[in-house]
Amino acid sequence: MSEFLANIQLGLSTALSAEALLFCFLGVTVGTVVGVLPGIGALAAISLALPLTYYLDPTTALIMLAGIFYGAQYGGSTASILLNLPGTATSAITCLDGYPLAQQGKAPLALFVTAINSFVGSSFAIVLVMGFAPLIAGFALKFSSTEYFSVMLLGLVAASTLSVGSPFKALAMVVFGIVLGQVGTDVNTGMFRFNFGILELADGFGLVAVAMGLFGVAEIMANVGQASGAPMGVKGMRFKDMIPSRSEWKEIWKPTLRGSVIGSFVGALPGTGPGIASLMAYAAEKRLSRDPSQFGKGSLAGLSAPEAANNASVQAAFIPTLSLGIPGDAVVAVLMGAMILHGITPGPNLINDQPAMFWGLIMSFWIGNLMLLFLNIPLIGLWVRLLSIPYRLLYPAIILFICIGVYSADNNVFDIYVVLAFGLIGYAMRKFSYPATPVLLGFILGPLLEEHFRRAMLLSHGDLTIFLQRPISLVFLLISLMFLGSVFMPGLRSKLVSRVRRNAPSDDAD
Amino acid sequence: MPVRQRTREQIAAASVIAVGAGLSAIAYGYPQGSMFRPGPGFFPFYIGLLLVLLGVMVALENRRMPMDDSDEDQPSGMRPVVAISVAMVVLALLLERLGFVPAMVAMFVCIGFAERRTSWLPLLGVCLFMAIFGTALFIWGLSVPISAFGAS
Repeated sequence: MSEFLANIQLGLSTALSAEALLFCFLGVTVGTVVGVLPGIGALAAISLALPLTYYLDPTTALIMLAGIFYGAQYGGSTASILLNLPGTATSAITCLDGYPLAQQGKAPLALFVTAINSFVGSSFAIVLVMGFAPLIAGFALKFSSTEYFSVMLLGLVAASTLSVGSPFKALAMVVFGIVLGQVGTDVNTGMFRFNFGILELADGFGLVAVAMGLFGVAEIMANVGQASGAPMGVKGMRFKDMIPSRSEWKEIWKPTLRGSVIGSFVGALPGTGPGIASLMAYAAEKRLSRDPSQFGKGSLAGLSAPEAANNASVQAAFIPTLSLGIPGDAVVAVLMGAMILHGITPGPNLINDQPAMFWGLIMSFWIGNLMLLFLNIPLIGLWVRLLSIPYRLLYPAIILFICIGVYSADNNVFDIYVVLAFGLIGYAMRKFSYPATPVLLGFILGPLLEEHFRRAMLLSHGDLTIFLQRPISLVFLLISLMFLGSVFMPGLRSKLVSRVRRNAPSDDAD
Repeated sequence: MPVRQRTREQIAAASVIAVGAGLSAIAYGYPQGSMFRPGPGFFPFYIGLLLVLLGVMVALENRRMPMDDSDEDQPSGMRPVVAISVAMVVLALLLERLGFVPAMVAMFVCIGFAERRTSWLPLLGVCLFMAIFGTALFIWGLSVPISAFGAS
């Protein structure tokens, strides 16, 4: 226990330094802005901010990038409630009950409630991260390449089979991501692979370029020219209108807690993100409700549970990332990529080798969430005004940012062409509802998967059954098989998915 | 020419299969190594085969899926895609030759054609703002090695 307190103290001393506080504030503010503005997700913002953090101390850089991530979850609900913009699976669910509330003139109440839900969901999950990440890391210290291969496989399978939409398309996209990760230099032999004689591809595709293309450029291409909604009348946002009445508090506290639990659980699974978390929380709440007919008409329970769940899942996603080095979803995957670029390998050794970083990051979550509560309740009017910037004036600037952002990562124009190519691929994927998140997960985990596979083969003298002989590895493989089996036995899954599919065009990140 | 949705879906699945087959074909030319010491071609060869298999599964699934067999939903959908692609290529071509400001102005002009009716005046405003803000942020602030005007 005293060790635990010492860790907390260490974390606080890191997170409360002036530099960390400044960049945490910067991160959550940027996160709120990009969350509010439709068309730029957390993923785009983090990818763009990544080159800017090269000069920072790695811990500070991570604090800021993580702040963008969870900050965007707070901001995202604002656009859903006021504009009914179902850009991602997460916000599509917030739209279901948030927008009707705004239509009834209860927008201030809805915004306040989602800020509170977000805070409760996050807090709950941070406690779990503090408890479980070190525990799992301690357990994972005994892992060899065999176990790593299996647990990564599990993460990839879970990410694709638990997503909204066709599981085959998602699985194909995971493998496509692994394919993209093959381009470059083979680490074991130094041989160039699949670079088609292009020197710039010797190091493979840049993470930022792939992410920006698939998510940033593709999304803009798909959105331009589509009618955008006008923001609801939000003039005179008075604090008085925001506070829920006693009966309204009664209506929200249980769904918020249930959402937090569901979100934390789903988020902690490797490979599942906020989209599936809010979906499950909404479905559960609707089933438990005494009056399910209220859902979709402005039910506070239907708003609260998914909001708490998506924030909880975002924080809980750090459990597998920090303890095993396996990202929970696309955004955390980019965060993990950022850690690798900063020379830190996420994995079970991280917590022991870099306690100041781990505990500092966790403590910064608390601080960041407190800042967000402040940013999102008293200052909500400011963000709402941002929504009145028309998209057609926003996106040219975003494209410019993306281009210069990827250029600055390597000072090479080639990366602009790479972004464009992935933008076109991502656009086509969107048109045919192939999800983009699994591509990114496969791209980041693919090279690690291959390395661990080859190392495991070396250790076992080429015996493939090693993956079945080691008990922990066997368990991971059996769970993976279970997920794969669920694809062929569409029971509850299809029921769950078909209900929301109409409202959720894609299960992409942020 | 209107193409039916099912056909378009199958073309998408076929491209997935093609990528997988291409990967395996190239990987086959790389040293395969042995099971004991897999070579650089080993892993990608099987990954390619897996992608082919999944592409076939998607194609089979498409056959069973109920689809709306009417023609293309958005006939003008390609306009923004083309305009944005051209804009990015133009930026990439000019950035190091003419400098940041001329390149971005050219890019904004191309983007202006993404929509049928563009209000050029507000777009000019954004362009002007980004020229100043971008120069301050990228060139002065982050010392990206490009010049505002002129080759770098």
